[in-house]
Amino acid sequence: MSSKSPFKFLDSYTSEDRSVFFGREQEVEELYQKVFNSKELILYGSSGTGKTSLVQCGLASKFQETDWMPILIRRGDNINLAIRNTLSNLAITPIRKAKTLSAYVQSIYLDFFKPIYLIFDQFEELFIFGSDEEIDSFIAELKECLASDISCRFIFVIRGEYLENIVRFEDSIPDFFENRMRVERMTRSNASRVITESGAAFGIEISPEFPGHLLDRLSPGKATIELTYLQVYLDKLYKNATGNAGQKVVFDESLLQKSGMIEDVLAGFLDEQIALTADKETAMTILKAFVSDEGTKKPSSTTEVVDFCRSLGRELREDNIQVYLKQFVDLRILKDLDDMGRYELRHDALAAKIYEQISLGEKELLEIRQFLLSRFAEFQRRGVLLTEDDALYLTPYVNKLFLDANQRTFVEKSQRAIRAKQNRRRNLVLAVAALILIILSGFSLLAIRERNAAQEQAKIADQKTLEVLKQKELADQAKHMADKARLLAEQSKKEAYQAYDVSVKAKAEAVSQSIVANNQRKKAQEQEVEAKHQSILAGEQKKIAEQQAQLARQKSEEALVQKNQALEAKLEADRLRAITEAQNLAFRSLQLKDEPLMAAYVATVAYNTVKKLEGNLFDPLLFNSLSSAYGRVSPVTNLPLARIGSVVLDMALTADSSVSAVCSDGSFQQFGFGGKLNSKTTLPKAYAKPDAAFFSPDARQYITSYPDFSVCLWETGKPDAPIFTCKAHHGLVRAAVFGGASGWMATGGRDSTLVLWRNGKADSRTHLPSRIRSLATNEDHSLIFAGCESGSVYSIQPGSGKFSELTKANGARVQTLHYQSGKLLAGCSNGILRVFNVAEDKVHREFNLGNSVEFVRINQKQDMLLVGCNNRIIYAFRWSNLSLQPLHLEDVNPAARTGILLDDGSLFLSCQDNSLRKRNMSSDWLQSHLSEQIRPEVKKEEFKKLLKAKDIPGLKIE
Amino acid sequence: MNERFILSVFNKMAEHRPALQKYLVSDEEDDEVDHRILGDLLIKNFPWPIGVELRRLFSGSLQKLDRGRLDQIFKTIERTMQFTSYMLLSQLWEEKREKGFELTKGFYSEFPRRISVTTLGNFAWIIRNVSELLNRDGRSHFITEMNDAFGPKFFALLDFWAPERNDIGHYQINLQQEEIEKRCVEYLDKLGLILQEMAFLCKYKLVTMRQIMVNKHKHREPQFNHHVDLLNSSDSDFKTQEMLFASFADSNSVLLMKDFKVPKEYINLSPFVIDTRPEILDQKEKFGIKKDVFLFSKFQNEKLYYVGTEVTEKVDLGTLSFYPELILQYKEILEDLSPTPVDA
Repeated sequence: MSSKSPFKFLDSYTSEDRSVFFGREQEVEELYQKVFNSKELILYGSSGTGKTSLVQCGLASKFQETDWMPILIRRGDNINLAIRNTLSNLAITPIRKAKTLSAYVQSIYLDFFKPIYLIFDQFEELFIFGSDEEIDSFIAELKECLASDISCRFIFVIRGEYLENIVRFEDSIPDFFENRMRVERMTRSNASRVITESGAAFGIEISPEFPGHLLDRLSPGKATIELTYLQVYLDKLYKNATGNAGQKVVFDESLLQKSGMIEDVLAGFLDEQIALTADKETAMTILKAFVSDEGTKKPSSTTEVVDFCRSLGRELREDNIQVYLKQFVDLRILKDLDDMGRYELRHDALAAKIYEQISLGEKELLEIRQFLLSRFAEFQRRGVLLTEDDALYLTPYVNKLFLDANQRTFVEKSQRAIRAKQNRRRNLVLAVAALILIILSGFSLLAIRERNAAQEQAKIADQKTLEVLKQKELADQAKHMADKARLLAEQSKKEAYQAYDVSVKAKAEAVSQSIVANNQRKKAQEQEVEAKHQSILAGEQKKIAEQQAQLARQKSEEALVQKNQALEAKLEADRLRAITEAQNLAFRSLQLKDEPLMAAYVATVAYNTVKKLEGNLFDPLLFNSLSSAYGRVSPVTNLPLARIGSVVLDMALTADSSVSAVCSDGSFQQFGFGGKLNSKTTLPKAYAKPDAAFFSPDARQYITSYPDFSVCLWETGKPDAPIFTCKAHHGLVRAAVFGGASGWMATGGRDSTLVLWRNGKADSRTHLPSRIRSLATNEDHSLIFAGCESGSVYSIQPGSGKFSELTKANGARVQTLHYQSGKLLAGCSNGILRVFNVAEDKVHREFNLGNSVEFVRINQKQDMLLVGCNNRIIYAFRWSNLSLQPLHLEDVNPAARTGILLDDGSLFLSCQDNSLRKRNMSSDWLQSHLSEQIRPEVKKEEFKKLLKAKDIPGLKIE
Repeated sequence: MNERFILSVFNKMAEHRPALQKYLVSDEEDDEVDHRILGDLLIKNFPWPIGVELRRLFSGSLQKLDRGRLDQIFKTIERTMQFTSYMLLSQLWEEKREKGFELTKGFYSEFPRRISVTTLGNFAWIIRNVSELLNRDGRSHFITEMNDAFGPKFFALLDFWAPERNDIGHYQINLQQEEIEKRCVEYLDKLGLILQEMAFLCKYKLVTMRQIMVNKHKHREPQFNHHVDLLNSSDSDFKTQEMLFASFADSNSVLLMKDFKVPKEYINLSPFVIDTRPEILDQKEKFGIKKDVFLFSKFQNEKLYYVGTEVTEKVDLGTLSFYPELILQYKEILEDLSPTPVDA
C-alpha cells in the first residue's frame, strides 16, 4: 500500500508550502520588488508556469503574517458581485450595501489592520465569460479604488494569451500595463533543483543521474520544463516507489524504467482515473461540463452539469452525477465545492486534455444549446422570442437538447408566434386575392351592361320591324284602296312591293351588322380585362422576386461582413500579441547595458517588427530603447554641436534653413544644421546687453528688452540700427508677441502691464492683476493671451483695454503660452501643461509633467508638440492625438533653456552651459542610423544565441 | 480588545491636535463612534516606525491573548523607545556640533557603551540622560512638549520594561497560557500610558526628503524644489509631494519637522533612521538592497547594521550610494559626543 504523496500534483503551492517551494527564488524576489512599484501588478505567463504558486506561496513567504492579507478573487458569475461577496464574507463589521468598492476594501482593512492584496486568479475568465457591461463596470470600480488612498494592492494573474485584452483597461487607467511581470517556464537547472531539494525535504533518496534523465524524458530537447507535468509525474513516481510500507523511497533509473514512457503524462493520468469509474463514457461526459469553449477550465455547479449533459444528449439524474463528482474529487481531478457551490478542474492542463475529447458533433450541440440559452436569457430580460430564422436553425436539434420546462415553453411560444405570423401573412394574401376578384366582378358587370345595351338595340330593331309592318298594313290599306284603282295603280303597287323588299333586306342587314359589332366589342373588352389581370399578377410576382433577391443579397452581405469582421478581429489579436512581444524586446534592450551593440540590434529588431505589423511607432518604449542604444553606440551625440559663449535668449529657425539665436552679449548667431557657425553679428554697443529677446513667428524680426525696461525691434540680418526703440514699461519685460498682418506687437512684464505697439509707439496699455510671464495670440490676431505669475491666463482684445480670465492654474506661474489651431497651451511652474479650447471655453486636456514647464514649441509641419521641463526631460507629443503617450528624452544634461524641433525629428537645444546641442526625437531616424552602425558587427545567429542565453522572449520575431 | 487602549491614547492625542476631536463624535445620532477609524488615525498620527508596529498590534492576526501578541507589545514599546532615543540623540549631536553644548563626564564615559548595544535598557538610559542634560542646561527639547512630559514619572514608566523583557520576554521561556493572558492585558495598559505621554508626536511630521532641486532664474532669487515623502501613513505606499521653498532643508535624509510646509525647524535623524526607498537600483551590486525605512541597530567591524520597519530579513546596505556618508556621520557622532568633558 502506498503512502500519501507529498508532491503538489495539480494543486498550487500555498503559504503552508513555503519550506518546499524551490527553484523560483529569483522570480519571488522580482515579484516582491514589483508589488511595491505600483498599486496594481499584472503577472502573466503561459499555463503551467506556476503563476498562482508564485503569488500564493513565493510572495506570501516574504511577508510577516501581520503585513499580508491576501484575498483571492475568482470571477464566478460576475466579477463585480464576486468581489463584494468575497469581501462581505470576510467582514467582521457588517458593510452597508450600495457602498463603493473602495469603501468595502477600507472596511475590511479596518477590521483586520493588515495591508490588503486582492489577487485576481485566472483573470482571463473575465474576458472569456464576462460581458462588456461587466468589464466596463469592473474597470470603473478599479479606477475608483486606485485613485483612493486605501491600503490595498491589486495583483492580476492572467494567462499570456489573454494579455491583449488588458488594452481595454488602458483607456480609463493609462498606466495599467506599466507594472507587469512575465513568468517564464522553469529552466532545466532549476527544475533539477526542485527534484533534488524536494527529495531531501521529503526524505526521498535520489540517485545523482535521476534528475537529468527524468527531465530528458519529460521535455526532450527543450530548455524549459512544464511544471504541471513535472509535479504529476513526480507524484506518479512516488506512488510507484512506495510499494512496500516502511521501505525507504528511492528515485532512480530503474524506477524510471518501471514507470514507463511519459509522452503525455496528463492524458495517461486522465485515462487511468476515468477507467476507475463505473461508466467511462458517462464520466467523460460529466468532465466535459468543466471545460470552456476556449479549452480552459470552467467552474460548474451540479445543476449546470445536469444541463450540460442534456446538451450532449445524456439525461443523467442529479444524484447519479453527484456520485461521479465526489469520485472525481477523490481522484484529484476536481477541486471540492467552493463558496459558490461549484466544482472546478484542478488545472487548465486537464481542461486542455478533456477539450481534445469533445467531438465536432458535441461542439455543434453545445453551440446550439449556448445559442438557445442566450436567446432564452434575452427572452427573460427583454421578452424577445425566437425569430423565424432562429427557429429554422434550431428545429433539427430541439428534440436532442433536453430542454427544461421553461425553455421548452419558450421554444413552443416562439413557434406559436411564428405560426401566427405565417397565418397573418396568408390572410393578407387571401385578402389581396379577394380584392382582385371584386375588381374582376366589376368588369363582369360592365360586360353585362354592354349586353343589355345590345339587347336594347335589338328591341329598337324589333320596333322598327313593327313600324315596317304597320307601314305594310298601311300599304295593304293603300292596296285595298288602290284595288279600286288597281288597274291604274298596278305599276305603283309593284314598285311599292319592290321598295318594301329592299327595306326589309336593309333592316336584316343592319341587325346582323349590329350583332357582329357587339360581339366583337365584348370580346375586346374581355381580352382587355384578362390582359390587365395578367399584368397585375406579373407585377406582383416581379415585386416578390425582387424583394427576395434583395433579402438574399442583404443576408449574403451581412454574412460576408461578419466573416470579414471575425477574420479582422483574429488578425488584429495576432498583431497586437506580436506587438506586445516586440515591446518586451524593446524593454529588454534597455536592460542590455553592458552590450551596446546588442542592445542596438535588439532595439532595431523591436522597432522593425512593430513597423512591419503597422503598430504604433510613436511608442515611448520603442523610442527609449532606440534612443538609449543610439546614445551608447554613438556617444558623440552627447557632445555639444557648438559653443555659443553666452546665454541664448531666444532661438528660431530662419528661412535660410539655419538656427538663429539672439544672445545675452548682444550677438546674433546663425548655425547650420551640422553646427557650423554661418554668421555672427553684434548689436551696436548701446544695445549690447539685452536681458530678454523674442523672435517673431517667421523669424524676420525680433525684439530685445533691457534692464532699463526699454524695448527695441530689429530686422533679422540688419544689426546696425533698430527699427524703433521705446520705453513704456515700469518693470522688466518678460514676454512679447507679434500681431503679424495686424501690424501690432505686444509686450508684457513684471509691471503687470500689457503694452500694445503700433508704428513704433505705445498705442495702448492694459493693466492686468498679476505680473505677465508669457504671451500668445490667436490666428487672426484678434485676441492676445497673457499668462501671469498668479497662474491666471487672460484674454485681451488688442487696443480695447478689456480683458477676461480664461483659466487659472492655482499656485503656479504660467511659464509659457503657445496658441495652435484653436487651442491655447499653457505650461506652468507646477509641471501642469494645460490645453485650453478657446472657442469652447473649457480645458481640453491636462498633463502633469512633474516639473516646471519651461518652453512649448510646435514643429513646422505642426504634427509634433515639443515641451521642455526643468527636470531635464523633453517631451514630444503627437499634436493630432494628444492621448498617445509622449516620447521623452530623460538625460538632457545640462538642462535645456529652449529648443527647436525640425520636421525630420532633429532637435536643437540651447543648454545651460551656453552650448547648442542636437538630439533626435524620431524613432525612424534613430533606427536607420543605428542599423548603419550595427550591421557589419552583429550577426543574426549571435543575436539568436543571445536571445536564448538571456531568456529573451521574441524568438518568433524575425 | 484594543478599543480601550485606542480610546485612551486617542483622547490624549486629540488634546494636542483639536482637529481630531471631531472623530470622537459619531456622524449620525444612532451610530456609535467607529473605534476602527480612531485606531487608523492613531497609526497615521504616530511616526511610521511606531505607527507600523501599532498597526501590527491591531491586526487581525494578533487578536488572541497569546505569545504572538505579547511579543508584538514588546516590539511596539521597543521601537517607540528606540525611535525616541534617536530623536533625542540627533538633537544632542546638533546642539554639540553647532552650538558647542558641553557634555558631562558621566555621559561621555557611558555613551559609547550604551550606543553599541541597542536594548530597552540602553534606550531608557539615553532618553533619561539626554533629557536631563538638556534640562540641566536650560535648553529646550526640539519637541517642546518633552520639556514637561519627560520627567521622573515618565522615566519610571520606561524603566518598567527592561527587567520585564529580561525576565519573561525572551522566547526561550515557556509561559503558561494564563500568565501570557495576564501579561498581555497588563503590558497593553503600560504601553498605553507611555503612548498617552507621547501623544504630542501627532503635532510633528516624519518625512523623507528625497532630493532638492535648485530653480534659479536670471535676476531671481533661487527656489528649492523639495521632493518629500510623508512617513505618517498606515501603509508603506507613502505619497510623494513636491514643494517649492525659498530656503532648503537637508536632502537624502529622514527628518522630523515641526511644520511640514516650512523647511526650517527640523531634526535630521540620519544616520539613526534612514530610508532606502529613493535609492535607484541601477547596478547589479545594489540588487541586494531592500527598500524600506530602517532603524540603526549596531556598528561592528566598520559596518553599520540596521533593522527594517517592514523588511524582516537581514539586508546588507553597504552598496547604498550614501552609505559612506552614513559611516562618516556615525564616526563624527562618536567623536563629537566624546570630547574632553566638563564635570557636571
